[in-house]
Amino acid sequence: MSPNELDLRRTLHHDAERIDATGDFAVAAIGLERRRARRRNTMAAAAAVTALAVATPIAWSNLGTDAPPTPATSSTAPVSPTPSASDTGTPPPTTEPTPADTRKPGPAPTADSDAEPQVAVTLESGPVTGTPRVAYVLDGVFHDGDRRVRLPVSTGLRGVARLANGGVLVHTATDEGVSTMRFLDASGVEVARAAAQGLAVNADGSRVAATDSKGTIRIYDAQGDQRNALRTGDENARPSGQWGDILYYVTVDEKGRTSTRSWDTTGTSTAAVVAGSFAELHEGRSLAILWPNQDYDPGNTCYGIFDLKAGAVNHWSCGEFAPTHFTADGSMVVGPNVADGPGSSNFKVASADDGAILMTVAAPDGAWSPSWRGAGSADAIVVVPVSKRDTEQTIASCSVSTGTCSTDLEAVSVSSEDSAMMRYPIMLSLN
Amino acid sequence: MRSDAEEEFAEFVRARQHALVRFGYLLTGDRMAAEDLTQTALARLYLKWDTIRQAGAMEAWVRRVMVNEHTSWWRRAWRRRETVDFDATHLADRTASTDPGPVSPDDSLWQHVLRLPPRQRAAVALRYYEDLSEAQTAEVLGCSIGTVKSQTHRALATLRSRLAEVPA
Repeated sequence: MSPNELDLRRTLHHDAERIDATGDFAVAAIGLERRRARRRNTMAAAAAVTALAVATPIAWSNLGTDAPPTPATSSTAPVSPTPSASDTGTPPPTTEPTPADTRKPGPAPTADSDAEPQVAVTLESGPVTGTPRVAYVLDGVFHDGDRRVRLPVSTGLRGVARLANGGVLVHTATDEGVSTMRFLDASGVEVARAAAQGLAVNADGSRVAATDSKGTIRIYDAQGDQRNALRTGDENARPSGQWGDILYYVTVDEKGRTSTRSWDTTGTSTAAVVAGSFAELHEGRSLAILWPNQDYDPGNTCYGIFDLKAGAVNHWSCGEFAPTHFTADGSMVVGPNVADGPGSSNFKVASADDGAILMTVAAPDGAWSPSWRGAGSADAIVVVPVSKRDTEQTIASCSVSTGTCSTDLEAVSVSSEDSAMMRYPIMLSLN
Repeated sequence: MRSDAEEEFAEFVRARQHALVRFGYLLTGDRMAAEDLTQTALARLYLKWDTIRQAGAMEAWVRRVMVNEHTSWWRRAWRRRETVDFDATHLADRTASTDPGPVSPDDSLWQHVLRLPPRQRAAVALRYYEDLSEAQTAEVLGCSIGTVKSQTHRALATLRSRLAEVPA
């Protein structure tokens, strides 16, 4: 038999029209994107261990001489944090990795209520008034102060980071899902390459943790030489961040619940730490932003500030806010206003000590890319807004103490196709 | 996203979700995979709703994302193939997860459609199910009209060749 076009048309219609969508895809798609947005933020934050100036020396290159931090817990059981006096009053979500994790935390977004002091700041379009406080990539060139390094890749860029030897780490992914990191020397020449489904770079760029597709975490130095490895047995395992010799990583069970574990990278010992995932660590204050396992609820999103030394949550906050980063001194956290959902035009800054909202920043028009960082002086928050309905991108910084935002880079154009495919010309460095 | 924009998004999805899932089924050959693919594309549409809506090309954009996403899935599955015969697995999965339903007017033809490379299958679905023109198909696939012509020509030639191999 030889099919003609009519046969083909009849067959396709017959097979396809037996199929109907089940359920409301609008609700499902909105929920799916919001969960993914949160996961993206988690992974982005995990990759950027810190872009902040930290006080604690990194012990990596000086093993055993600096006082190494102690793992949060050496037990095999996850920690059950006790709400402290600074708790906002909202019942904290359980941190036990049990089915109870999927329950929605209680109501009362007290940390984000109207009663909290807020300073609403609007980022105005205008002339460039500052200089970028972070390293960034623009049109394939890495900018770090006065230094410029042309990257050897033009597509699929997922992230960049400064390395301690003056080099640059470049993370890319292909359409087929193959993720790779390249170690470049200071002149931009590739000196090493490795698989990197997920990665974390420490503050000074002296250590890189990366997972391969089978869930093995490998530790590399700035030259790209492997220093240690750990088989987690979980292909979804991702490094969250490094605190001295301790690497924190996230595993995901078959129900999608996350758990954080620690690995003493001087050896092979690991330990369960807490249910949920760390969005970012602040080495100087020994704190982490903890996201619990929680059903998406834009009006009641919870996070905890986890004390790495004590192995306990200092306080929980619930509301319309999901912080992704610490500020430079670790006193504040910053992130999107999740109630806005994708294309959020607002982000907030809150106290890391009690969850009080200190500042809300609103973009006048268009969406913000999820790329804020704390950098430079203690209270400067660097953001990369996409303005004028996704047609331009720039770098701006906002200050809590002055309540103002300034534009640090001349705006660059974003084509409509790049905007549609979420490809933006500016990418901030992970450290 | 503003509440009115979110409502517009919901209205669009509810009006088009059946058609999109059917298109996804033609790409994947599997009901569950079709729904996953559709949801993935709609979630991305939601993320870019304001921009895409202004361009007035929501449905073409969604279909383009579905084709690209499915091609990526297929490539990943192919790369993992190694010791597993992808076609056999794929067809077995489809058998297991789709409704038995009535027998197709030409079930063997449908089976061979499922074995076409994903871009050829997408071209066939767009041309012979969605009844898009070559220019419209090219827009969805993100390629030239000439490529659409060659993809559909190769698909038809493959189908004719494979069906000719089957004893009557």
